[in-house]
Amino acid sequence: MAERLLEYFARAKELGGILAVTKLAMISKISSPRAKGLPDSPENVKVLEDALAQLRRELGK
Amino acid sequence: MRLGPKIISSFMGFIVMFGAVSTAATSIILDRRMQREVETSEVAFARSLATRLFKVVKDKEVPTITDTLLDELALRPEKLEYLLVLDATGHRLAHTFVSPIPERLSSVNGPFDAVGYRVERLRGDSINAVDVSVPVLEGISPIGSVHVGIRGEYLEAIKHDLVRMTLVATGAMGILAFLVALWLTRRIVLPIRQLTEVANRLSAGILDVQLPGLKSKDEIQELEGSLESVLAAVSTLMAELGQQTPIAGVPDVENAHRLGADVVPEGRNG
Repeated sequence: MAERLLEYFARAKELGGILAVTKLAMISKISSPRAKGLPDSPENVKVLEDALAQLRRELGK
Repeated sequence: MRLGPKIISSFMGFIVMFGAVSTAATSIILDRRMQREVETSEVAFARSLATRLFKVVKDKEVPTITDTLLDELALRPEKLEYLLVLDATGHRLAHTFVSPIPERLSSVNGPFDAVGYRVERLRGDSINAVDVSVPVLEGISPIGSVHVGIRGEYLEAIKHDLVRMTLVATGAMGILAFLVALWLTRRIVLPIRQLTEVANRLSAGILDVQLPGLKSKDEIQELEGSLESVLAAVSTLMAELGQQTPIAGVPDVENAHRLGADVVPEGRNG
């Protein structure tokens, strides 16, 4: 299912709470409800991984 | 006015203006070119005729002059209206008219200026021609004049043909422009309309929307990308807020602040 994808949202929440989760969705253009229905395909994982990396840079963490 | 009609009317307006300007320009250019054409080729023809007729004009051999004029007229009947030869006093020696000579032609006799020829537009009830006249010279003394009448209809037909062609080309361009405008409208307006519908649904609080998935690789696709980001952010935020459950025993106002809602406490309203 979308366990790996949802992990990225969980990690974002750890980084900066709801705002960080929202920002991750904004960067990746994938909402957390939508992520639940998406497969853990390499493409989707890469999108969220890149988005999380960008989020980390923006938050300085 | 909506975007589609705006694009189409702009294109059509441009084409109509372009057509009007190019038709007017064609007409003006043709007038000048034809004037030059008359002044160069027909003056040369009249001079050549005057040189050939010099001896017979001097001897006033009317039948010979008439034969020559008729022969010349037969060579270019579509272009030449008449040929006329006058003597030094302005009396007609020979001509190619089969009907009475138009009255307007009696005024075309007169002295020649330094350029040695005259070009005069004759337009009346019975004549529509450009009269090109040159003197028949004996040394430097004029002993008569040769008049070449070019059909006005011939010159006008050339002009009308070219103006008509310009108008046809403009019409074809207009149809093409209309089709291009329609195509552009479909390419630009349709995606914008789809994105507007999505934005309208979002503004109405409906988050369950489907983006059109444009592949245009332009600003409109960028707009869709931005809309997609906003939609993802709002959906995530709503989902996250939905997960936050009010804590039992904590006042509603505090719970509201926890969830980030902008709530005015009861009792402060009014």
